[in-house]
This record gives sequence, structure tokens and C-alpha cells, in this order.
Amino acid sequence: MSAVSDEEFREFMRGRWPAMVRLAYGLTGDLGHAEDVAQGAFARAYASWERVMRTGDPDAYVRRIVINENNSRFRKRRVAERLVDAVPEPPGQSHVDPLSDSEALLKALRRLGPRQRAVIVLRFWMDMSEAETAAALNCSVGTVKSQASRALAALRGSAELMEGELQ
Amino acid sequence: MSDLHENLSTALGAVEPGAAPVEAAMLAGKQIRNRRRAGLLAGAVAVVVAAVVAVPAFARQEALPAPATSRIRVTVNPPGPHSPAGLIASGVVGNQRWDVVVQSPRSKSCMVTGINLTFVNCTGDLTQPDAGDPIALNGAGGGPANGTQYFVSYGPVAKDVASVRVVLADGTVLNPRPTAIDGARLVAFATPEGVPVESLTVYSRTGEIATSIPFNGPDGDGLPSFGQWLRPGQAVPARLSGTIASGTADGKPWRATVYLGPWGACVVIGPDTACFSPTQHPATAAAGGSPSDEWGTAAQSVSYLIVTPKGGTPTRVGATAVGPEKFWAIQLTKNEQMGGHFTAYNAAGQQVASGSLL
Repeated sequence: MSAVSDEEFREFMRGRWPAMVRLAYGLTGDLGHAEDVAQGAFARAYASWERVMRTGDPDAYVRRIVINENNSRFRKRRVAERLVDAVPEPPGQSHVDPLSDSEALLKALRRLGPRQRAVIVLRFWMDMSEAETAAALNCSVGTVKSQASRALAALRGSAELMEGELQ
Repeated sequence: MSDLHENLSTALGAVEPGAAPVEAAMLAGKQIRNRRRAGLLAGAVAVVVAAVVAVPAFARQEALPAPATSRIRVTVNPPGPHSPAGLIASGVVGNQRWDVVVQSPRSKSCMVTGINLTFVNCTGDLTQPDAGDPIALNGAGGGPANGTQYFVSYGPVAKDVASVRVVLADGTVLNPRPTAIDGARLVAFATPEGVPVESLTVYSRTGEIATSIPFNGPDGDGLPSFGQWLRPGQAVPARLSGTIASGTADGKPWRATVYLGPWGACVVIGPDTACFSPTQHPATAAAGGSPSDEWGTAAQSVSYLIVTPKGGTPTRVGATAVGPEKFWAIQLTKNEQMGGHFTAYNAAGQQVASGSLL
């Protein structure tokens, strides 16, 4: 790798690090894991940096790796994540609108299962279509629809709070 | 729906990551390249490096350069009675502590290094190296942003290995001990960036089993590649190198160089290095590559090849001799992908071999 390429990579990573960690945080629900996933994605990009630069869109490349890394992560942690299905604090007990309060929204996101969380982030934050989300998560469009529906219902906490907003 | 988008943007925008670990990512990237190369080479056709010189003893290979005046302190320690479960070894490089832990002993699959190097590598069953190899080493690189950068090498040893001796280019000698963890015997050691491994020798209870003199790359500061094991008394292949191909791809110049030596055969194309053990007769085959390139070996009868990468057009490539062997390489353009096929021809234009690219 040339010194020029290395400097290009450093500049790119410094500039895009916060955005990729935030994406990874949305997907993982944990800042430590998010930074690990983002660092791994940048490392993979660096491993093929000249190739990545030739694509003309390194941002999309790293974003794609972040999503893939998270897919791998939740495949490996599937059993552990299933245990989280028993939500310790039922969202219905909160009087805070989880979708308009940042803290509450992040907390609610963390309570979701990994695939539901990924669907919410990709579909409603990254503005991916259902088909794009399905491709990114290696699942069917039907799965995206059903996971999104369940995730939104869980995020609402109490149905009456967000009635209409998420339709 | 747009409310949810805005609220997610606000919520996730409030997440404040730490400083970007740029140097750690770059070192991890280098390690990924090495690992990728190792995987690509798993099915590679080996090349016999016939040029040899007699070396009576490996002691001469360990005739080391004068130690640097500012030698970096490097240590390796086995686990103690109060060490955490799964610890293979720990030590220091400069003022940085390092350790390597098997994260999931039951599956013996995930190695975690730290403290200032966070890297997780899941490598599968680590109970034994490949048949014929006394040790199988993998590695990772990293370190703090403003501290000593270092590489950690780790892996399983064969059942008959009792001890390991690692000699660094600055004269430092490390003696990592095999540690038994859940049925596997593993070693680990760390080296500072810029201080390459000069040699690694493994011993049984009765004597030397084999020595490997690794390829450290043209710049000598990366992870060592242990491509070949030499038995006591075995002749050491001579060191040869030569450019096998060069040109421009997408307007960028590139060059492929082959280094033959006690490490076996190593092909360097841009940032990529691939090494393999010359244990079989030469053949014409695709032997390695990366997202940027494809390369291979060629029999003596081969004059040129027509190489067609996936998504690309047929390209004529010369087979170039380095010492007693022939190699070929191409650089992929942005429209081309790994994979595809090749056909090899002799000087008379007759087809002599064909096969698939990796």
C-alpha cells in the first residue's frame, strides 16, 4: 500500500468513523460492539483499499461490510439473543413516547431482537426499500415485512401513543 | 414514517463514538490480507524450488545482525496459577502488555488478543497443525495510536513439540512454551513492528524437529509468513527474486515479484504477499490472488497463457522464469472479478494446460 493510499484511507476513516459507528450502534444496540463492528469493517476496507477506491463509493462499501459483519454477529449469537425475548421492563409501563424521545428510542431499540433492530435501522433510518433490506439481511421481503411490523409494535410500547404515526 | 426517520437520526446522532482507531484498523487490515492469502493458498499447487545451497547447520542461519542500540523489550510468559482461563501466553512489547486468550475453549475456535490490541479471530479447530507441519501460526497486528505497534502470532503445535525458539532480527530470543487448553497445545508470542522474525525452531524432547525462516516482505515490517519447514541437515533453498509481470490497470502501475528462498516461494503484488511450500512438482495452475489480482505457476513448457477473469476479456500473459520455476500474474481492472479460467500454450501455440482461476 502506498503512502498516498494510506493517507487517503486515514482521512476517509477519520471522516466516516462516527457515521459507521452510529449505523453499527443502531444494528447492534451496544456501543462497544458497534465500535468493534465498525473497526472490523474499516479493517476489511483497508485490506482491499485500492480495490475499494476503484468502486468510486468507499462509503457504500464500508456500510455494506458493517451490515454484513452484524449479520454474522447475530448469526453467531442467535441463542443468546433469543434469551432477550423476555423483556425485563415491559415497554408498556413507560409513559415516555419511545419514538420521540432519543433515550427512550435507543432503549427500545436495544430491547428488540437483532433482526428486528436491523430491519428498523435499515428500513426506517437508512431508507432502504423492503427489497433492499431483504437483500442486505439475506432474508425474504416477507420476513422484512413481518419483522418490521413486530418491531414497530414493540417500539410503540403502548399502541395508542403512536397510533397512525407508523402506518 | 418520516417522524421515525427523524427520531432515529436524532437518537443515533447523539451517540458519540470514541476516536477513530485508524492505525489499529490498518494493522488489522494487513492481517486480514495475510489471512486471505493463506486461505487462497490452501489449494495452491506447490512449486519445487530446486536451487539449493548446502548449509551444515541452522546455527549459521541464526548468525544475527548486531543488536540495535535501542532494542525494544519483548517478553513472553506462560500462564501462571492465577491466570484467566484460556490464556495461552502474555508479555510485553516495549511498554505495552499483550496477551492471547482462547475465548471459547470448548470449541477452541476464537482467539482474542489484547490489551491494546482488540482482535478476535475465529479459526476453527486448533487442536493440530496440518499434517507435516510442527506448528501452524496465524497472526494479528495492532497497538495504541501513539505507542509501539506490534504483531501477535499464535497457533497450535504438533504433539511432539516440547519447546519453541523464536529469534528476532535484533537478536532477541523468545521461548514461548506450549500451553495445553482443552486438548489443544498452543503457543503465542509478540514482535514489535519493524523487528522481523529471523527464524523459528521447534524442538522435541530429544532435539530439533524443524526450522522455518519466514518471509517478512520487501519492507520487512509485517507479519512473518512461515511458508516452509526445513528439517535438520536439509539443504536450504537459495534466495532468488525476479519481476514476473508489470503494467498498468485502470491507469495505475502495478508489478508482481517472486521471492524464492528458505521460506518457499512468495509472490508480492502491490500490498499483497502470498507464500507457499515447494513440496510438489511444478504444474500449471492458478495458485493465488486477491480482489485485485490473479497469479499462478507454469510448467517449463508453457510460453504464455490466455487468462479470462470473471467479467473481463481474454488477456495474453507471459510465463516468466524466476530461477528454475515459471510464474504468471495479471492485475484485475475495476470491471473484473476473481474467478474465471485460463488456457496455457507452448511456444508453438499448442494448448498444454487449462484450468480455473481462484
